[in-house]
Amino acid sequence: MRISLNNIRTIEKYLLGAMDQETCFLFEAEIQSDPTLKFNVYVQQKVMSLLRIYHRKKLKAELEVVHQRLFGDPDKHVFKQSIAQLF
Amino acid sequence: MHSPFQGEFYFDFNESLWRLLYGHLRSKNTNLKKNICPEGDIFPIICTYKHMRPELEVLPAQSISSSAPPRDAFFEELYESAFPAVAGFVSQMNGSFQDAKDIFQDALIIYFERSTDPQFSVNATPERYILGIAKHLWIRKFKEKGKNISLNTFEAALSIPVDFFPSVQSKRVLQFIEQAGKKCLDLLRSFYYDKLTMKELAQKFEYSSEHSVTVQKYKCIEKVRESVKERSITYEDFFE
Repeated sequence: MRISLNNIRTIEKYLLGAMDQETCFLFEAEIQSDPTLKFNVYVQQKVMSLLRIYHRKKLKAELEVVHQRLFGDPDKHVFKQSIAQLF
Repeated sequence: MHSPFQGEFYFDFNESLWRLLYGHLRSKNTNLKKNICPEGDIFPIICTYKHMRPELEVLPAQSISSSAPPRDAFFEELYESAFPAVAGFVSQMNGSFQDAKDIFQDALIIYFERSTDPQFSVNATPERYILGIAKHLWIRKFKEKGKNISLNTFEAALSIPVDFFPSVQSKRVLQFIEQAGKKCLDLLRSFYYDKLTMKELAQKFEYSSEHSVTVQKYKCIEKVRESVKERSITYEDFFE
């Protein structure tokens, strides 16, 4: 794998908390002394946060499918009725 | 250089990690802000945290119920069992069916995330938990109308994840990345959240081997990371 990809793998390991303690402390020392690395760690953490947002957005879309199915299913008429009468 | 995602990073941090960390720092009576964000500088925390709680595994754990196919049925069951109570609550508050639906779906997602997170113990039935979260969501959404809601002890102890409502800027960046690299987002999501193995990933995304999909995964992180840099510079976040 390219060096840049290996670096990404290392940062990933770090962000997931999967490094052993010694490696982790060494890596943090490296982060402090290397602004480019520090910046890349920052942005990669941002990528992880964006993925979380993306994941939730997709879950919501999955729930929308379930919702449409449930409220369109003739067998679930009673359920639908019990909700509808609330509003 | 001013650090890039200052305030936001503070909140985007993995929530369960954050909770434990916060508890630890508070018990030591330290100044949180000063310790964690002098310049958005939270990194040394990860090792310290691992050192403090070595028994806890920070890696996302394997979980059957979080993978895609059985999730669908699980969602449907919860919809039937937990939606009526949430709808009842929202209707009491004079909310609409649409409000009930929105709040219920968000509450279900929060419950789902926590029920599959080994670091969270959900000591309640899903119905009770979802209703409690729904109340919090209502209070957050309708500050005025939510004033008179009384929460019982169980409900009062619940909380919405700190990063649940992303900033406008994050949404914009994500939107941009969705246009440019949806396949990468899906691949990374399948790995981090659906916990697919490399073999399953290779099959799903049609790569010839586990090795090639592994390389692709890192290429995807790189690609998304470059987009984030590009977009964030466009929005002048780095140098504000």
